[in-house]
Amino acid sequence: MTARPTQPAGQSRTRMVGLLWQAWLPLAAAVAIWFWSSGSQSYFFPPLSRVLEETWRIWFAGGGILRDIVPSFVRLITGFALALVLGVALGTILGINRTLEVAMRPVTEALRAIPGAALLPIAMMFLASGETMKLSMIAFISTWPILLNTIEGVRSVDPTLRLVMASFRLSPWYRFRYVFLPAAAPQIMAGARISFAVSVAVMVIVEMFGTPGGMGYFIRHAQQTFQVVPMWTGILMLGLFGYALNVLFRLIERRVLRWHYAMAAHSEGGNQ
Amino acid sequence: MRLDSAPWTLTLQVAATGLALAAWFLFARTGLADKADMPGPVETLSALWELWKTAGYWQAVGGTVRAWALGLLLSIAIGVPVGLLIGRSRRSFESTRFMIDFLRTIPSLALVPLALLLFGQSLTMVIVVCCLATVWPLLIQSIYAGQHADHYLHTVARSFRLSRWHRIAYVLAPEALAFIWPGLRIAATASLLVTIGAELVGAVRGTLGFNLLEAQAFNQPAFLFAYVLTSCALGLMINGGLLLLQRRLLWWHPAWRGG
Repeated sequence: MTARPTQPAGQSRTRMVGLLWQAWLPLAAAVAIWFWSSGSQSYFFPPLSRVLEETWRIWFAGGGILRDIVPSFVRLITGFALALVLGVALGTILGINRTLEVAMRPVTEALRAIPGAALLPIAMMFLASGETMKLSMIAFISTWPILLNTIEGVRSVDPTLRLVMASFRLSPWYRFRYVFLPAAAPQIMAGARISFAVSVAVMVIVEMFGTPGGMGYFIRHAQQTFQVVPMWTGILMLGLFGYALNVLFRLIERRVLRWHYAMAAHSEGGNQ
Repeated sequence: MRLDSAPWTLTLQVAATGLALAAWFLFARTGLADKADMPGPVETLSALWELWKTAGYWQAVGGTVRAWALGLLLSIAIGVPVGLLIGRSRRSFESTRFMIDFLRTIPSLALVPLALLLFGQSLTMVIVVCCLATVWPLLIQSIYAGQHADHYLHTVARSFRLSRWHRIAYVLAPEALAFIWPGLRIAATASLLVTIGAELVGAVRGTLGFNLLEAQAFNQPAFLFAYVLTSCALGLMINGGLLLLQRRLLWWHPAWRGG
Protein backbone atom coordinates (compact mmCIF):
# COMPACT_ATOMS: atom_id res chain seq x y z
CA MET A 1 0.00 0.00 0.00
CA THR A 2 1.21 3.47 -0.76
CA ALA A 3 1.00 6.03 1.97
CA ARG A 4 -1.75 8.53 1.40
CA PRO A 5 -1.15 12.14 2.16
CA THR A 6 -3.20 13.19 5.15
CA GLN A 7 -6.41 14.85 4.11
CA PRO A 8 -7.79 18.03 5.47
CA ALA A 9 -10.57 17.50 8.00
CA GLY A 10 -13.28 18.91 5.73
CA GLN A 11 -12.61 16.38 3.01
CA SER A 12 -12.79 13.38 5.30
CA ARG A 13 -16.01 14.72 6.72
CA THR A 14 -17.64 14.97 3.29
CA ARG A 15 -16.47 11.43 2.66
CA MET A 16 -18.15 10.30 5.90
CA VAL A 17 -21.35 12.06 4.91
CA GLY A 18 -21.21 10.39 1.49
CA LEU A 19 -20.80 7.01 3.14
CA LEU A 20 -23.76 7.66 5.41
CA TRP A 21 -25.90 8.57 2.41
CA GLN A 22 -24.94 5.30 0.76
CA ALA A 23 -25.53 3.24 3.88
CA TRP A 24 -28.90 4.38 5.19
CA LEU A 25 -31.15 2.77 2.59
CA PRO A 26 -29.59 -0.72 2.68
CA LEU A 27 -29.63 -0.61 6.48
CA ALA A 28 -33.23 0.58 6.57
CA ALA A 29 -34.19 -2.14 4.09
CA ALA A 30 -32.43 -4.80 6.17
CA VAL A 31 -34.18 -3.64 9.35
CA ALA A 32 -37.54 -3.48 7.57
CA ILE A 33 -37.14 -7.00 6.21
CA TRP A 34 -36.03 -8.23 9.62
CA PHE A 35 -39.16 -6.96 11.37
CA TRP A 36 -41.55 -7.63 8.53
CA SER A 37 -40.43 -11.25 8.25
CA SER A 38 -39.91 -11.92 11.97
CA GLY A 39 -43.43 -13.22 12.52
CA SER A 40 -43.73 -14.63 9.03
CA GLN A 41 -45.63 -17.88 8.75
CA SER A 42 -45.22 -17.91 4.98
CA TYR A 43 -43.59 -20.99 3.62
CA PHE A 44 -41.77 -19.06 0.91
CA PHE A 45 -40.57 -16.12 2.99
CA PRO A 46 -39.06 -17.41 6.22
CA PRO A 47 -37.95 -14.97 8.95
CA LEU A 48 -34.63 -13.29 8.18
CA SER A 49 -33.27 -14.38 11.56
CA ARG A 50 -33.72 -18.02 10.60
CA VAL A 51 -32.09 -17.49 7.21
CA LEU A 52 -29.09 -15.86 8.88
CA GLU A 53 -28.82 -18.64 11.47
CA GLU A 54 -28.95 -21.28 8.76
CA THR A 55 -26.44 -19.35 6.66
CA TRP A 56 -24.01 -19.50 9.51
CA ARG A 57 -24.71 -23.18 10.12
CA ILE A 58 -24.50 -24.34 6.48
CA TRP A 59 -21.90 -22.08 4.92
CA PHE A 60 -19.56 -21.09 7.72
CA ALA A 61 -19.71 -23.66 10.53
CA GLY A 62 -20.71 -26.51 8.20
CA GLY A 63 -17.91 -25.92 5.71
CA GLY A 64 -20.20 -24.98 2.81
CA ILE A 65 -17.69 -22.39 1.68
CA LEU A 66 -15.04 -25.04 1.03
CA ARG A 67 -17.51 -27.53 -0.36
CA ASP A 68 -19.42 -25.33 -2.80
CA ILE A 69 -18.12 -21.78 -3.07
CA VAL A 70 -14.44 -22.54 -3.65
CA PRO A 71 -15.14 -25.05 -6.47
CA SER A 72 -17.54 -22.55 -8.06
CA PHE A 73 -14.92 -19.84 -7.85
CA VAL A 74 -12.17 -22.00 -9.37
CA ARG A 75 -14.53 -23.08 -12.17
CA LEU A 76 -15.54 -19.53 -12.90
CA ILE A 77 -12.00 -18.18 -12.95
CA THR A 78 -10.68 -21.05 -15.09
CA GLY A 79 -13.51 -20.70 -17.61
CA PHE A 80 -13.17 -16.94 -17.74
CA ALA A 81 -9.38 -17.14 -18.13
CA LEU A 82 -9.81 -19.52 -21.07
CA ALA A 83 -12.29 -17.09 -22.62
CA LEU A 84 -9.90 -14.19 -22.08
CA VAL A 85 -6.97 -15.97 -23.76
CA LEU A 86 -9.12 -17.23 -26.64
CA GLY A 87 -10.91 -13.92 -27.12
CA VAL A 88 -7.77 -11.80 -27.07
CA ALA A 89 -5.79 -14.17 -29.31
CA LEU A 90 -8.49 -14.57 -31.96
CA GLY A 91 -9.52 -10.95 -31.64
CA THR A 92 -5.97 -9.75 -32.28
CA ILE A 93 -5.64 -11.95 -35.36
CA LEU A 94 -8.96 -10.71 -36.74
CA GLY A 95 -8.23 -7.14 -35.73
CA ILE A 96 -4.91 -7.07 -37.60
CA ASN A 97 -6.15 -8.90 -40.65
CA ARG A 98 -9.01 -6.87 -42.01
CA THR A 99 -9.77 -9.18 -44.95
CA LEU A 100 -10.05 -12.18 -42.67
CA GLU A 101 -12.26 -10.25 -40.27
CA VAL A 102 -14.65 -9.15 -43.04
CA ALA A 103 -14.78 -12.68 -44.42
CA MET A 104 -15.46 -14.27 -41.04
CA ARG A 105 -18.04 -11.72 -39.97
CA PRO A 106 -21.15 -13.81 -40.82
CA VAL A 107 -19.71 -16.73 -38.86
CA THR A 108 -18.71 -14.71 -35.81
CA GLU A 109 -22.01 -12.80 -35.84
CA ALA A 110 -23.97 -16.06 -35.98
CA LEU A 111 -21.99 -17.78 -33.24
CA ARG A 112 -22.22 -14.71 -31.05
CA ALA A 113 -25.97 -14.46 -31.54
CA ILE A 114 -26.64 -17.93 -30.10
CA PRO A 115 -28.12 -17.38 -26.66
CA GLY A 116 -25.61 -19.35 -24.59
CA ALA A 117 -28.14 -21.26 -22.53
CA ALA A 118 -29.47 -22.95 -25.69
CA LEU A 119 -26.10 -24.66 -26.13
CA LEU A 120 -26.41 -26.43 -22.79
CA PRO A 121 -28.24 -29.54 -24.09
CA ILE A 122 -25.70 -29.89 -26.91
CA ALA A 123 -22.80 -29.51 -24.52
CA MET A 124 -24.34 -32.14 -22.27
CA MET A 125 -24.81 -34.47 -25.22
CA PHE A 126 -21.15 -34.25 -26.24
CA LEU A 127 -19.35 -33.77 -22.97
CA ALA A 128 -21.74 -35.32 -20.44
CA SER A 129 -22.35 -33.21 -17.35
CA GLY A 130 -18.94 -33.16 -15.71
CA GLU A 131 -16.26 -30.53 -15.32
CA THR A 132 -15.25 -30.46 -19.02
CA MET A 133 -18.79 -29.51 -20.02
CA LYS A 134 -19.02 -26.78 -17.38
CA LEU A 135 -15.68 -25.23 -18.29
CA SER A 136 -16.24 -25.33 -22.04
CA MET A 137 -19.68 -23.74 -21.69
CA ILE A 138 -18.34 -20.88 -19.57
CA ALA A 139 -15.35 -20.37 -21.86
CA PHE A 140 -17.23 -20.56 -25.15
CA ILE A 141 -20.05 -18.22 -24.22
CA SER A 142 -17.88 -15.60 -22.54
CA THR A 143 -15.38 -15.46 -25.39
CA TRP A 144 -17.59 -13.35 -27.68
CA PRO A 145 -17.76 -9.98 -25.92
CA ILE A 146 -13.97 -10.09 -25.39
CA LEU A 147 -13.36 -11.14 -28.98
CA LEU A 148 -15.46 -8.36 -30.50
CA ASN A 149 -13.98 -5.69 -28.26
CA THR A 150 -10.44 -6.88 -28.96
CA ILE A 151 -11.08 -6.56 -32.71
CA GLU A 152 -12.29 -2.98 -32.19
CA GLY A 153 -9.38 -2.14 -29.91
CA VAL A 154 -6.69 -3.59 -32.16
CA ARG A 155 -8.17 -1.88 -35.19
CA SER A 156 -8.02 1.49 -33.45
CA VAL A 157 -4.21 1.35 -33.27
CA ASP A 158 -2.75 4.48 -34.81
CA PRO A 159 -1.75 3.74 -38.46
CA THR A 160 1.50 5.66 -37.92
CA LEU A 161 2.34 3.24 -35.14
CA ARG A 162 1.91 0.35 -37.56
CA LEU A 163 4.36 1.98 -39.96
CA VAL A 164 6.81 2.53 -37.12
CA MET A 165 6.54 -1.13 -36.11
CA ALA A 166 7.09 -2.22 -39.68
CA SER A 167 10.15 -0.03 -40.12
CA PHE A 168 11.63 -1.26 -36.86
CA ARG A 169 10.89 -4.83 -37.98
CA LEU A 170 9.44 -5.74 -34.62
CA SER A 171 8.74 -9.43 -34.18
CA PRO A 172 5.04 -10.41 -34.06
CA TRP A 173 5.30 -11.12 -30.33
CA TYR A 174 6.76 -7.66 -29.64
CA ARG A 175 4.07 -6.02 -31.74
CA PHE A 176 1.43 -7.86 -29.77
CA ARG A 177 2.98 -7.39 -26.35
CA TYR A 178 4.05 -3.75 -26.57
CA VAL A 179 1.70 -2.17 -29.09
CA PHE A 180 -1.53 -4.02 -29.81
CA LEU A 181 -2.22 -5.35 -26.33
CA PRO A 182 -1.74 -2.04 -24.49
CA ALA A 183 -3.60 -0.11 -27.17
CA ALA A 184 -6.54 -2.47 -27.03
CA ALA A 185 -6.46 -2.92 -23.23
CA PRO A 186 -9.19 -0.39 -22.33
CA GLN A 187 -11.52 -1.91 -24.94
CA ILE A 188 -10.62 -5.45 -23.91
CA MET A 189 -11.39 -4.56 -20.29
CA ALA A 190 -14.79 -3.20 -21.28
CA GLY A 191 -15.49 -6.48 -23.06
CA ALA A 192 -14.10 -8.49 -20.16
CA ARG A 193 -16.49 -6.75 -17.78
CA ILE A 194 -19.51 -7.87 -19.83
CA SER A 195 -17.97 -11.33 -20.26
CA PHE A 196 -17.45 -11.69 -16.57
CA ALA A 197 -21.10 -11.10 -15.79
CA VAL A 198 -22.00 -13.60 -18.53
CA SER A 199 -19.55 -16.11 -17.03
CA VAL A 200 -21.27 -15.91 -13.65
CA ALA A 201 -24.68 -16.46 -15.24
CA VAL A 202 -23.41 -19.43 -17.26
CA MET A 203 -21.64 -20.86 -14.22
CA VAL A 204 -24.92 -20.83 -12.29
CA ILE A 205 -26.89 -22.55 -15.04
CA VAL A 206 -24.31 -25.26 -15.85
CA GLU A 207 -24.03 -26.05 -12.16
CA MET A 208 -27.80 -26.35 -11.94
CA PHE A 209 -27.71 -29.03 -14.65
CA GLY A 210 -24.31 -30.56 -14.09
CA THR A 211 -22.88 -33.03 -11.64
CA PRO A 212 -23.27 -32.21 -7.92
CA GLY A 213 -21.11 -29.47 -6.47
CA GLY A 214 -21.14 -25.69 -6.67
CA MET A 215 -23.56 -22.99 -5.63
CA GLY A 216 -25.90 -23.39 -8.60
CA TYR A 217 -26.35 -27.07 -7.77
CA PHE A 218 -26.93 -26.25 -4.10
CA ILE A 219 -29.70 -23.75 -4.80
CA ARG A 220 -31.49 -25.92 -7.35
CA HIS A 221 -31.21 -29.02 -5.19
CA ALA A 222 -32.56 -27.15 -2.16
CA GLN A 223 -35.54 -25.94 -4.21
CA GLN A 224 -36.28 -29.36 -5.67
CA THR A 225 -36.31 -30.92 -2.21
CA PHE A 226 -38.40 -27.98 -0.89
CA GLN A 227 -35.77 -26.87 1.63
CA VAL A 228 -36.77 -23.23 1.40
CA VAL A 229 -34.52 -21.84 4.12
CA PRO A 230 -31.33 -23.45 2.73
CA MET A 231 -32.36 -22.17 -0.71
CA TRP A 232 -32.52 -18.61 0.66
CA THR A 233 -29.11 -19.02 2.26
CA GLY A 234 -27.74 -20.14 -1.11
CA ILE A 235 -29.21 -17.08 -2.85
CA LEU A 236 -27.80 -14.83 -0.12
CA MET A 237 -24.33 -16.35 -0.42
CA LEU A 238 -24.43 -16.16 -4.20
CA GLY A 239 -25.34 -12.48 -3.92
CA LEU A 240 -22.39 -11.85 -1.62
CA PHE A 241 -20.20 -13.92 -3.94
CA GLY A 242 -21.28 -11.86 -6.95
CA TYR A 243 -20.66 -8.60 -5.14
CA ALA A 244 -17.22 -9.67 -3.93
CA LEU A 245 -16.27 -10.72 -7.46
CA ASN A 246 -17.39 -7.36 -8.78
CA VAL A 247 -15.21 -5.54 -6.28
CA LEU A 248 -12.27 -7.80 -7.14
CA PHE A 249 -12.79 -7.17 -10.85
CA ARG A 250 -12.83 -3.41 -10.32
CA LEU A 251 -9.57 -3.57 -8.35
CA ILE A 252 -7.86 -5.58 -11.07
CA GLU A 253 -9.23 -3.29 -13.76
CA ARG A 254 -7.89 -0.24 -11.97
CA ARG A 255 -4.48 -1.87 -11.56
CA VAL A 256 -4.26 -3.04 -15.20
CA LEU A 257 -5.44 0.25 -16.67
CA ARG A 258 -3.62 2.55 -14.26
CA TRP A 259 -1.37 3.89 -17.00
CA HIS A 260 -4.42 4.49 -19.17
CA TYR A 261 -6.20 6.58 -16.56
CA ALA A 262 -2.97 8.46 -15.94
CA MET A 263 -2.63 9.15 -19.67
CA ALA A 264 -6.22 10.26 -19.99
CA ALA A 265 -5.87 12.53 -16.97
CA HIS A 266 -2.63 13.88 -18.39
CA SER A 267 -4.01 14.63 -21.82
CA GLU A 268 -7.02 16.31 -20.26
CA GLY A 269 -4.69 18.55 -18.29
CA GLY A 270 -5.42 17.15 -14.85
CA ASN A 271 -2.76 15.91 -12.46
CA GLN A 272 -4.45 12.60 -11.79
CA MET B 1 -9.62 0.17 -52.29
CA ARG B 2 -10.81 -3.09 -53.78
CA LEU B 3 -11.25 -4.38 -50.26
CA ASP B 4 -14.15 -2.13 -49.55
CA SER B 5 -16.14 -2.91 -52.68
CA ALA B 6 -19.41 -4.62 -51.87
CA PRO B 7 -19.22 -7.57 -54.33
CA TRP B 8 -15.75 -8.49 -53.10
CA THR B 9 -16.86 -8.41 -49.47
CA LEU B 10 -19.88 -10.53 -50.31
CA THR B 11 -17.76 -13.11 -52.15
CA LEU B 12 -15.42 -13.36 -49.20
CA GLN B 13 -18.24 -13.75 -46.73
CA VAL B 14 -20.05 -16.37 -48.79
CA ALA B 15 -16.79 -18.29 -49.20
CA ALA B 16 -16.02 -18.18 -45.47
CA THR B 17 -19.55 -19.25 -44.55
CA GLY B 18 -19.29 -22.07 -47.08
CA LEU B 19 -16.01 -23.17 -45.57
CA ALA B 20 -17.50 -23.14 -42.08
CA LEU B 21 -20.45 -25.24 -43.25
CA ALA B 22 -18.09 -27.65 -45.00
CA ALA B 23 -16.05 -27.96 -41.81
CA TRP B 24 -19.24 -28.74 -39.90
CA PHE B 25 -20.25 -31.27 -42.59
CA LEU B 26 -16.89 -33.03 -42.41
CA PHE B 27 -16.69 -32.88 -38.63
CA ALA B 28 -20.07 -34.58 -38.33
CA ARG B 29 -18.63 -37.54 -40.29
CA THR B 30 -15.58 -38.05 -38.10
CA GLY B 31 -15.47 -40.63 -35.31
CA LEU B 32 -15.41 -37.95 -32.65
CA ALA B 33 -18.80 -36.60 -33.62
CA ASP B 34 -20.30 -39.99 -34.43
CA LYS B 35 -20.03 -41.09 -30.84
CA ALA B 36 -22.42 -38.37 -29.80
CA ASP B 37 -24.50 -38.64 -32.99
CA MET B 38 -23.79 -35.15 -34.18
CA PRO B 39 -25.99 -34.18 -37.12
CA GLY B 40 -24.45 -32.43 -40.12
CA PRO B 41 -25.85 -29.28 -41.71
CA VAL B 42 -28.04 -31.28 -44.12
CA GLU B 43 -29.70 -33.33 -41.37
CA THR B 44 -30.16 -30.21 -39.25
CA LEU B 45 -31.81 -28.25 -42.05
CA SER B 46 -34.13 -31.10 -42.96
CA ALA B 47 -35.06 -31.46 -39.27
CA LEU B 48 -35.77 -27.73 -39.21
CA TRP B 49 -37.97 -28.13 -42.30
CA GLU B 50 -39.85 -30.95 -40.52
CA LEU B 51 -40.32 -28.78 -37.46
CA TRP B 52 -41.60 -25.83 -39.47
CA LYS B 53 -44.62 -27.89 -40.35
CA THR B 54 -45.53 -28.56 -36.73
CA ALA B 55 -47.55 -26.33 -34.44
CA GLY B 56 -45.35 -27.17 -31.46
CA TYR B 57 -42.39 -25.44 -33.04
CA TRP B 58 -44.17 -22.16 -33.68
CA GLN B 59 -45.80 -22.29 -30.28
CA ALA B 60 -42.36 -22.63 -28.69
CA VAL B 61 -40.95 -19.76 -30.75
CA GLY B 62 -43.98 -17.65 -29.86
CA GLY B 63 -43.68 -18.46 -26.16
CA THR B 64 -40.00 -17.57 -26.00
CA VAL B 65 -40.40 -14.37 -28.01
CA ARG B 66 -43.35 -13.32 -25.87
CA ALA B 67 -41.47 -13.90 -22.62
CA TRP B 68 -38.44 -12.07 -24.00
CA ALA B 69 -40.45 -9.09 -25.23
CA LEU B 70 -42.62 -8.77 -22.13
CA GLY B 71 -39.63 -9.12 -19.82
CA LEU B 72 -37.78 -6.45 -21.73
CA LEU B 73 -40.78 -4.11 -21.89
CA LEU B 74 -41.40 -4.53 -18.19
CA SER B 75 -37.81 -3.69 -17.36
CA ILE B 76 -37.94 -0.63 -19.64
CA ALA B 77 -41.16 0.46 -17.95
CA ILE B 78 -39.53 0.10 -14.53
CA GLY B 79 -35.88 0.87 -15.21
CA VAL B 80 -36.16 4.04 -17.29
CA PRO B 81 -38.48 6.18 -15.13
CA VAL B 82 -36.93 5.03 -11.87
CA GLY B 83 -33.43 5.57 -13.24
CA LEU B 84 -34.25 9.07 -14.51
CA LEU B 85 -35.74 10.00 -11.15
CA ILE B 86 -32.75 8.67 -9.23
CA GLY B 87 -30.37 10.46 -11.55
CA ARG B 88 -32.09 13.81 -11.11
CA SER B 89 -31.00 14.18 -7.51
CA ARG B 90 -27.61 13.65 -5.98
CA ARG B 91 -29.10 12.50 -2.70
CA SER B 92 -31.22 9.78 -4.24
CA PHE B 93 -28.27 8.65 -6.35
CA GLU B 94 -26.02 8.27 -3.32
CA SER B 95 -28.73 6.59 -1.28
CA THR B 96 -29.44 3.92 -3.84
CA ARG B 97 -25.89 3.43 -5.09
CA PHE B 98 -24.91 0.55 -2.85
CA MET B 99 -28.30 -1.17 -3.12
CA ILE B 100 -28.20 -1.14 -6.91
CA ASP B 101 -24.58 -2.23 -6.95
CA PHE B 102 -25.37 -5.16 -4.71
CA LEU B 103 -28.63 -6.29 -6.26
CA ARG B 104 -27.40 -6.19 -9.82
CA THR B 105 -24.55 -8.59 -9.10
CA ILE B 106 -26.91 -11.38 -8.01
CA PRO B 107 -27.00 -13.70 -11.03
CA SER B 108 -30.68 -13.67 -11.97
CA LEU B 109 -30.70 -17.32 -13.01
CA ALA B 110 -30.00 -18.15 -9.36
CA LEU B 111 -33.45 -16.72 -8.62
CA VAL B 112 -35.18 -19.19 -10.95
CA PRO B 113 -35.71 -21.72 -8.12
CA LEU B 114 -37.34 -19.03 -5.98
CA ALA B 115 -39.43 -17.80 -8.89
CA LEU B 116 -40.45 -21.40 -9.57
CA LEU B 117 -41.76 -21.77 -6.03
CA LEU B 118 -43.68 -18.49 -6.31
CA PHE B 119 -45.03 -18.64 -9.86
CA GLY B 120 -44.76 -22.29 -10.86
CA GLN B 121 -43.62 -23.51 -14.26
CA SER B 122 -45.18 -20.66 -16.17
CA LEU B 123 -44.29 -17.91 -18.60
CA THR B 124 -44.85 -15.45 -15.74
CA MET B 125 -41.90 -17.03 -13.98
CA VAL B 126 -39.73 -16.59 -17.09
CA ILE B 127 -40.85 -12.98 -17.53
CA VAL B 128 -40.08 -12.11 -13.91
CA VAL B 129 -36.59 -13.66 -14.08
CA CYS B 130 -35.92 -12.01 -17.43
CA CYS B 131 -36.97 -8.64 -16.02
CA LEU B 132 -34.77 -9.12 -12.95
CA ALA B 133 -31.79 -9.59 -15.24
CA THR B 134 -32.45 -6.81 -17.72
CA VAL B 135 -33.66 -4.03 -15.47
CA TRP B 136 -30.14 -3.24 -14.20
CA PRO B 137 -28.34 -2.08 -17.34
CA LEU B 138 -31.40 0.02 -18.23
CA LEU B 139 -31.64 1.46 -14.74
CA ILE B 140 -27.97 2.37 -14.61
CA GLN B 141 -27.91 3.99 -18.04
CA SER B 142 -31.09 5.90 -17.18
CA ILE B 143 -29.42 7.19 -14.04
CA TYR B 144 -26.60 8.53 -16.24
CA ALA B 145 -29.19 10.07 -18.52
CA GLY B 146 -30.82 11.79 -15.56
CA GLN B 147 -27.49 13.02 -14.24
CA HIS B 148 -26.12 14.33 -17.48
CA ALA B 149 -29.19 16.11 -18.76
CA ASP B 150 -27.52 19.08 -20.39
CA HIS B 151 -28.52 22.30 -18.70
CA TYR B 152 -27.72 24.54 -21.66
CA LEU B 153 -29.77 22.46 -24.02
CA HIS B 154 -32.82 23.15 -21.87
CA THR B 155 -32.07 26.82 -21.62
CA VAL B 156 -31.81 26.99 -25.39
CA ALA B 157 -35.05 25.07 -25.76
CA ARG B 158 -36.75 27.48 -23.41
CA SER B 159 -35.38 30.57 -25.10
CA PHE B 160 -36.71 29.27 -28.40
CA ARG B 161 -40.02 28.99 -26.56
CA LEU B 162 -40.55 25.41 -27.63
CA SER B 163 -43.81 24.00 -26.42
CA ARG B 164 -43.69 21.35 -23.73
CA TRP B 165 -44.41 18.60 -26.26
CA HIS B 166 -41.69 19.78 -28.63
CA ARG B 167 -39.27 20.08 -25.76
CA ILE B 168 -39.91 16.47 -24.84
CA ALA B 169 -39.93 15.15 -28.39
CA TYR B 170 -36.96 17.04 -29.80
CA VAL B 171 -34.73 17.76 -26.80
CA LEU B 172 -35.37 15.56 -23.78
CA ALA B 173 -36.22 12.27 -25.41
CA PRO B 174 -33.39 12.09 -27.96
CA GLU B 175 -30.87 13.12 -25.35
CA ALA B 176 -32.05 10.53 -22.84
CA LEU B 177 -32.28 7.88 -25.54
CA ALA B 178 -28.62 8.31 -26.46
CA PHE B 179 -27.68 7.52 -22.88
CA ILE B 180 -30.15 4.69 -22.42
CA TRP B 181 -29.35 3.01 -25.74
CA PRO B 182 -26.22 1.08 -24.68
CA GLY B 183 -28.15 -0.26 -21.69
CA LEU B 184 -30.98 -1.34 -23.96
CA ARG B 185 -28.57 -3.14 -26.26
CA ILE B 186 -27.00 -5.08 -23.39
CA ALA B 187 -30.44 -5.78 -21.92
CA ALA B 188 -31.91 -7.07 -25.19
CA THR B 189 -29.12 -9.60 -25.78
CA ALA B 190 -28.79 -10.66 -22.16
CA SER B 191 -32.53 -11.15 -21.81
CA LEU B 192 -32.62 -13.79 -24.56
CA LEU B 193 -29.92 -15.77 -22.76
CA VAL B 194 -31.71 -15.46 -19.44
CA THR B 195 -35.13 -16.21 -20.96
CA ILE B 196 -33.95 -19.46 -22.51
CA GLY B 197 -31.94 -20.28 -19.39
CA ALA B 198 -35.00 -19.82 -17.17
CA GLU B 199 -37.07 -21.93 -19.56
CA LEU B 200 -34.49 -24.71 -19.35
CA VAL B 201 -34.19 -24.67 -15.57
CA GLY B 202 -37.93 -24.35 -15.05
CA ALA B 203 -38.85 -26.77 -17.88
CA VAL B 204 -41.63 -24.39 -18.91
CA ARG B 205 -43.89 -25.97 -21.52
CA GLY B 206 -44.44 -24.27 -24.87
CA THR B 207 -41.02 -22.61 -25.04
CA LEU B 208 -37.78 -23.16 -26.91
CA GLY B 209 -36.07 -24.11 -23.66
CA PHE B 210 -38.53 -26.94 -23.04
CA ASN B 211 -38.27 -28.25 -26.60
CA LEU B 212 -34.48 -28.20 -26.36
CA LEU B 213 -34.65 -30.29 -23.20
CA GLU B 214 -37.12 -32.65 -24.81
CA ALA B 215 -34.96 -33.14 -27.91
CA GLN B 216 -32.05 -33.95 -25.65
CA ALA B 217 -34.05 -36.31 -23.43
CA PHE B 218 -35.45 -38.25 -26.42
CA ASN B 219 -32.02 -38.27 -28.04
CA GLN B 220 -33.03 -36.42 -31.20
CA PRO B 221 -29.83 -34.54 -31.99
CA ALA B 222 -31.07 -33.23 -35.34
CA PHE B 223 -34.05 -31.54 -33.67
CA LEU B 224 -31.77 -30.28 -30.93
CA PHE B 225 -29.50 -28.61 -33.48
CA ALA B 226 -32.51 -27.25 -35.34
CA TYR B 227 -33.74 -25.58 -32.16
CA VAL B 228 -30.31 -24.13 -31.44
CA LEU B 229 -30.27 -22.78 -35.01
CA THR B 230 -33.67 -21.26 -34.33
CA SER B 231 -32.50 -19.53 -31.19
CA CYS B 232 -29.42 -18.31 -33.08
CA ALA B 233 -31.76 -16.83 -35.72
CA LEU B 234 -33.73 -15.10 -32.95
CA GLY B 235 -30.49 -13.66 -31.62
CA LEU B 236 -29.49 -12.45 -35.09
CA MET B 237 -32.89 -10.84 -35.63
CA ILE B 238 -32.69 -9.04 -32.31
CA ASN B 239 -29.20 -7.72 -33.12
CA GLY B 240 -30.28 -6.71 -36.61
CA GLY B 241 -33.44 -5.04 -35.35
CA LEU B 242 -31.49 -3.05 -32.78
CA LEU B 243 -29.02 -1.91 -35.44
CA LEU B 244 -31.88 -0.75 -37.69
CA LEU B 245 -33.51 1.10 -34.81
CA GLN B 246 -30.20 2.66 -33.89
CA ARG B 247 -29.78 3.99 -37.43
CA ARG B 248 -33.28 5.43 -37.43
CA LEU B 249 -33.25 6.90 -33.94
CA LEU B 250 -29.66 7.86 -33.25
CA TRP B 251 -28.31 8.83 -36.67
CA TRP B 252 -27.55 12.30 -35.30
CA HIS B 253 -25.33 11.10 -32.48
CA PRO B 254 -21.57 11.67 -33.04
CA ALA B 255 -20.64 8.20 -31.77
CA TRP B 256 -22.80 6.42 -34.32
CA ARG B 257 -22.87 8.89 -37.15
CA GLY B 258 -20.15 7.07 -39.05
CA GLY B 259 -21.76 3.66 -38.94
